[in-house]
Amino acid sequence: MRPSLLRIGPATAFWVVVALQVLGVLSFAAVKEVGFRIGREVVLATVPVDPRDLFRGDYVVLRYEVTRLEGCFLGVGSAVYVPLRERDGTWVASGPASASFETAVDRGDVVLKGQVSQRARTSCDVTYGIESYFVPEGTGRSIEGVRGKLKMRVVIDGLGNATIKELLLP
Amino acid sequence: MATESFETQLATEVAAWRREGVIDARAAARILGRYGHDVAELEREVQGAARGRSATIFGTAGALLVGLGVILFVASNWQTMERAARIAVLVGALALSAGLAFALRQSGHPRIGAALVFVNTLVFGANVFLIGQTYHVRVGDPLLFLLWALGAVPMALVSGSRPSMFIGLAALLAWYGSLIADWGAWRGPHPLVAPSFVGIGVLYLGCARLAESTRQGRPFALVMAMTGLSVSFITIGALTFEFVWRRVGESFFSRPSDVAPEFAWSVAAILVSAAVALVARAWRARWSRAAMLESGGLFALAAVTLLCTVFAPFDTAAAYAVLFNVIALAAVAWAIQMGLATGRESFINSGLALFAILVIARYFDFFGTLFDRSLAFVGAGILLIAGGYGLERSRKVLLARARAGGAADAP
Repeated sequence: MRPSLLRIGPATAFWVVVALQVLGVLSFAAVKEVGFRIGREVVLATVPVDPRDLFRGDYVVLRYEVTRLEGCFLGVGSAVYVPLRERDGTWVASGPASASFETAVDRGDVVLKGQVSQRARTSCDVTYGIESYFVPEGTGRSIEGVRGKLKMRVVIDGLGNATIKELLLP
Repeated sequence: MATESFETQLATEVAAWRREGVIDARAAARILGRYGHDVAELEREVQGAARGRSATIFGTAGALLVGLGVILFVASNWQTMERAARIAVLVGALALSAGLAFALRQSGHPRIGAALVFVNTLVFGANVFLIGQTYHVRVGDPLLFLLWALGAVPMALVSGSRPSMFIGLAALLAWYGSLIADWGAWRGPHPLVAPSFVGIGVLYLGCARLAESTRQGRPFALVMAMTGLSVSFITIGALTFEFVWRRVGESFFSRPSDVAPEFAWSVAAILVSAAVALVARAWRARWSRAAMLESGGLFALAAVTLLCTVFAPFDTAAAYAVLFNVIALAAVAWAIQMGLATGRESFINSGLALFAILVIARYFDFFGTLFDRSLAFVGAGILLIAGGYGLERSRKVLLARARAGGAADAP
């Protein structure tokens, strides 16, 4: 049989897969951690959601002021970039959202990347990947009582991807 | 006079009958005694197989408990643990499960080793989801399911673990389900959701048949085929309900464009891949009658679902529901016929399961509103017992006929 560099034994193949599993898990955590450390912190205000949906099991469902964007005509599934600027300690949309990162950069201090999840006639709903906040078991009900007054400290990396850092109770 | 090959075959068959409980030890001894075989050796083999089964059952149950324990430990303590500690515990558990699996397999304990491989797959999933939770990744993010599948399928391939392959296939399905949720396809749901899932089922089944013809893929053929058949049949089963069509209709006519264009492309890609897999399967089988019957049936199932949802030929939801009841019954007949023609028990079992689901669903459809609730449940119970008796009888007959037919499911 001709020796080949690609021919590896079952034991080697097994350990290669285990190494890839570990690498995959660590990379996933590392990407989030790096974003956490080098990203810019902003505070986003939430808006009340249907109380039946706010707290499910061990996570809180969040909806932000920037979830519904007026004057947005992009299709469902499209990437959308929202320019943000600070106003009274909270970051708000500082101009119309855009399908282009470069265009959005000119309109605000920070750009938040999202995806259009639902469309109405002149507005659209956007998800940013920060709509779930995990809480210790049994503490969700106390958060439910202050829904609508919650603020979230969020870290946004250079590409507009956001990660929740902490929940700010009123 | 009995030939040597006949005696070898007989000994193999008798051993199989004993393992399956078809004959007892006395009958086996009398049969083998006629040909001068060592009965004690056969009994040792039967007991060994029983111990192996017990080892598999205990090992898998233990694997599930250990996996659950690791998940619960981290989930319960995640608030008090530092992020780095959390990740260290998770990755440690992953490496430990892999190391134990490897050591057990190397030391001649393949069954417990296989159970530990399954633990590794579960712990890998726990790693992905708990790290996602650590960083508050949105619930239902498709990336989480994709990562799990990318860890499970290669592990299944290198270790030969069928439970891990099942987890991988299920995670891929969940990945697609969450991806199309982000594309807005579940609101309604969109009419193309049904053909996409029937297509995925057909694709899995086509890939199973292709895998069967390769040495590496053969161990996974059955789990792929069963997953594929289940996905297709469950989707067809859902389409037999009138209320599903009512919701699909409302979605289709009220917001036909409220879905990402990527969704339609994904459905096209799935259906084309499924068609290619079916053609390749028939070609590999040299266009045999059984291969053509199987590929043709699956192609028809996907095509009818697609045509009905794209061209919407009827005006009422009831008409679609009736049509899909007929299609589901045809699918039952096709699956049983396929099982008989090819000796594949998986087809017969899937066909009978779909039939049972149809009977129960239609019972509640028609009688659920007519009778008092308690009477409806009593009726359903009687129907289930009678159906179970009928199915058991017909299943035994069908399986016996299928086994006599020749080829069987890949191990």
